[in-house]
Amino acid sequence: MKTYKILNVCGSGIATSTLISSKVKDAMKERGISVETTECNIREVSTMIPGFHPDVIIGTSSLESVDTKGIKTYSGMPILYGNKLIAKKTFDEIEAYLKSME
Amino acid sequence: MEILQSFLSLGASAVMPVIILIIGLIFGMKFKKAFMSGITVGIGFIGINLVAGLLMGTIMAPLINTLTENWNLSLSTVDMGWPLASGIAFSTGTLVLIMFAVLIILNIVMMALKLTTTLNVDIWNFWHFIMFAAFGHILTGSLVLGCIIGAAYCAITLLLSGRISGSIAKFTGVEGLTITAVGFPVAYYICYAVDRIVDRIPGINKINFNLKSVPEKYAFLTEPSIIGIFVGVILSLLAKYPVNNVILTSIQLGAVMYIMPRMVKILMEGLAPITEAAGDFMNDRFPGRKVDIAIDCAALAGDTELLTISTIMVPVTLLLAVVLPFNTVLPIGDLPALVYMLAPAIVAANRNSFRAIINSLVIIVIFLFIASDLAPLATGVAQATGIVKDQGMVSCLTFGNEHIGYVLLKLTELIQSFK
Repeated sequence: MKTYKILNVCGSGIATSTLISSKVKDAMKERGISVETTECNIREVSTMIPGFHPDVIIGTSSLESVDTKGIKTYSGMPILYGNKLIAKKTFDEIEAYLKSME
Repeated sequence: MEILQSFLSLGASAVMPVIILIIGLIFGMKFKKAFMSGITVGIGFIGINLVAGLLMGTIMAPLINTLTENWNLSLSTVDMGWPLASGIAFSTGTLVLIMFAVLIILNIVMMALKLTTTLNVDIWNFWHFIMFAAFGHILTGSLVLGCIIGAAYCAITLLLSGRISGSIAKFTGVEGLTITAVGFPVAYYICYAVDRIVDRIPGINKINFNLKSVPEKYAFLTEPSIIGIFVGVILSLLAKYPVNNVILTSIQLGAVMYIMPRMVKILMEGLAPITEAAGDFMNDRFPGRKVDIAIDCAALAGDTELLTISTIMVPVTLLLAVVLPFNTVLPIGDLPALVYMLAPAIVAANRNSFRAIINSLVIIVIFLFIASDLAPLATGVAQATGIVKDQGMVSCLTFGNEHIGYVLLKLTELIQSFK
């Protein structure tokens, strides 16, 4: 089974991105998808991409100003603060997207 | 009791794993997961201790001594930065446990009484309220009074935060969000007032330009390590260190700025499942109700104008620190965090970068004033937790953004002085 890579981005690369990593790993595991996560701050995104090769980028900060090299991005806010139903919607989208890559 | 006392005296890395385990179990986490959270938090504290020793003992103590001798500069307090400050707040032992309960119950009660629409699930940022409870504890000598001050700070923030959700929606384009962390609501109102004053000054009120993003090739200048090296070079040159020492001190300071957040990240990894469980617990209380969700300031950090202005403000903050007579804080740890801390200045300026810069200058002066004034209490808490040894004064610019907590402490001090 393929392990997908998810890059989680926030302002510092410490706080909310780490929270997202923890949540997304659990959610994808429940769905039988193996993911590897790492975190960075918003200024590091373009230098992280060539090394880490993420399949998906999730940002709690806005990724609008960042060159994400065409990689699919999601807002981390529904995952971070939404109740389970709202978070589920984003997880469903990510799951569908990852499965469509196979 | 004696056994408990001697256990509590072991410090954060031993005590906090147990407290985190207890909090985790209360929120219904499985034992294994809660246990691992506790252990990870303990490991984080060991790491934070190591780096804090390097920062305060090896680098800053001799540097500040030499600066004071050479220039008569009164910058005796190290700005330790929010990563270390949050670590200290989360290492205050039983206070963390009590404040978790107090803050969650307070929010639920205020929601039930319709006093606020804000659901403060931004659990990580509870550390601000815990820190001010710890300040209150040291100031009054009473744990209960300390907790009341911390809770009052949270309550007032919740009352205000619902009112600013409109501006946040305009800025982020997402409805139903607000920010409760780091005094955002008050800083926003201050900037709003400054904006109205600027409106009345003929000529100046017409100035309007918009700063676009810093070109990508310069973005590395805002990296914490580069800021550390930059400040290290300036300070050690001012201290008239020999060249060898200038190089060594600069790379050490760059290293601390790089390593400290990584240590705090370990702490964060341990806390993540706990904050999830607590957030779910709060969300489940109000199904279907219209709520404003409290978000971290990180949500605003991606803004290009904010990035640009916070970069410009790094050297400006250092300069203000030297020039302002009341200031005793040497800015370092929080310089990379200007990218969140200036968010209210930018949001209030409504895409006029000139106004955003004026607002930023005003709130940076406030940062320095409050951070200087809180230095004795911050040093007291830091030393009580054992994370900072007897190596000089600490404070943090972030405290300068916590106006509500600060005013509450000052009022308490005033009442005490009448007794």
